[in-house]
Amino acid sequence: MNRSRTPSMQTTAVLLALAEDATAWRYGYELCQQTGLKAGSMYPILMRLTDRGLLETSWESDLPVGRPPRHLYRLTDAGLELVSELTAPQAQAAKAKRARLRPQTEGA
Amino acid sequence: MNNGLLDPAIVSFVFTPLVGTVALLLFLWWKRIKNNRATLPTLDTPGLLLASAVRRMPAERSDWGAAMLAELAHLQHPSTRWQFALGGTRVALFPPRQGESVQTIMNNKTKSLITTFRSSALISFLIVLPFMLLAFMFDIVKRLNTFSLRNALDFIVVFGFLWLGLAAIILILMPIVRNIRAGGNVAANPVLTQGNAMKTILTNPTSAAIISFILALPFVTILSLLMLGIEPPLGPLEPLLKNPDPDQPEVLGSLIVLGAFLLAVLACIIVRAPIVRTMRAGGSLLSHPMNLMLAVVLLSFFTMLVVGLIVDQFPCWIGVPNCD
Repeated sequence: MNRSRTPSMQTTAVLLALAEDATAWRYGYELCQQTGLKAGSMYPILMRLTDRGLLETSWESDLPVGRPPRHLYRLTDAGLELVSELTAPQAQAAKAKRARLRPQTEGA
Repeated sequence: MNNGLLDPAIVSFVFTPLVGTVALLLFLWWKRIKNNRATLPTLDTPGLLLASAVRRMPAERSDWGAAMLAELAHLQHPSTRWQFALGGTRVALFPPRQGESVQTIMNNKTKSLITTFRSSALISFLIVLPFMLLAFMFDIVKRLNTFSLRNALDFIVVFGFLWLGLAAIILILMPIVRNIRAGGNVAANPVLTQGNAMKTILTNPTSAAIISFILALPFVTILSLLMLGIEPPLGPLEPLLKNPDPDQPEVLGSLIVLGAFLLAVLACIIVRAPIVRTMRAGGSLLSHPMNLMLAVVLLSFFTMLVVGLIVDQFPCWIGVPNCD
């Protein structure tokens, strides 16, 4: 059986950024700006996520004048599944925290 | 007067070749960029830098090179372009290896281990090479007529240990540094605990630490005794290990020390494995404190060995008479 693996903070940040609008195609520099990661960290993460089938890639079809088409990225179903796995414990933790705080808040 | 690292002999014979090599590499790099400028006249310097690096990318990653170049073409601000180009150049020169499926990761682990060994051996050899050349030029060539088997063995032992010591240091540090640089990316994490085959005692951090400690003990003991100037009691082995003729090589003694040394190197690999594995899974460097402490202690011993050898032998390498 495969052990479930925890992605690094940077990888998680990229996955979450892509999951914000899962249907939209995003480009590399946009993701760099959103996550605060440099190109030197971003592209290896994108490559590995693509290798694992968590990300699909495409080339820009609306060709800007005088510029080459950009490479675009979007989460696959497997990628979305991983994001929901990653966010589920956080959501549960937040729920548990709220439940713990509620009696105190009500008592106050 | 001896000024440590600024001693004129060290500056002349060690730093000059190193500076010369770096200058030559920079010149070749610049020449390549200039050649690229001839074929890619419309690009600015960040563009040329990235384009030059992208040309070196493996075929299976060429799409990613094109992706980075296209992205750069959309950036306007010079500082942004430089920042992006420098990051992209690093990726292009050292791209992550093609994605591996879970089934092939275990097979590739062996390949990765061999690559790490090979890289450590090569890097340490390149570091030792200038010293070997120095010793050859200023020591051995001078006394070729009186060169004996004992001298030859001494040469091999000194540089062999220097090389192995550096290789061991690089071997310990390389995977840790790689993981810190990779940020423990999800896809870089091999599945080490799949199946029963991998659930050996070596995957358990505590047993790995104990085994490493036992393996490293002979080397640490020998080096500690040498540093403290204590001659180990050899008992009945004395006639075997101590050659009465000072001109004859002490082969058995050297082989025993080499064996102890190699066991210590093996200990390093075993003790750092749980740390590297945890880091690949996104964990902290400090998650196995016992293993980390042992790795640091072993690293210190290897560093002492390397630095001690260089400090002790350097005068001989630059031809100082009666340096022993």
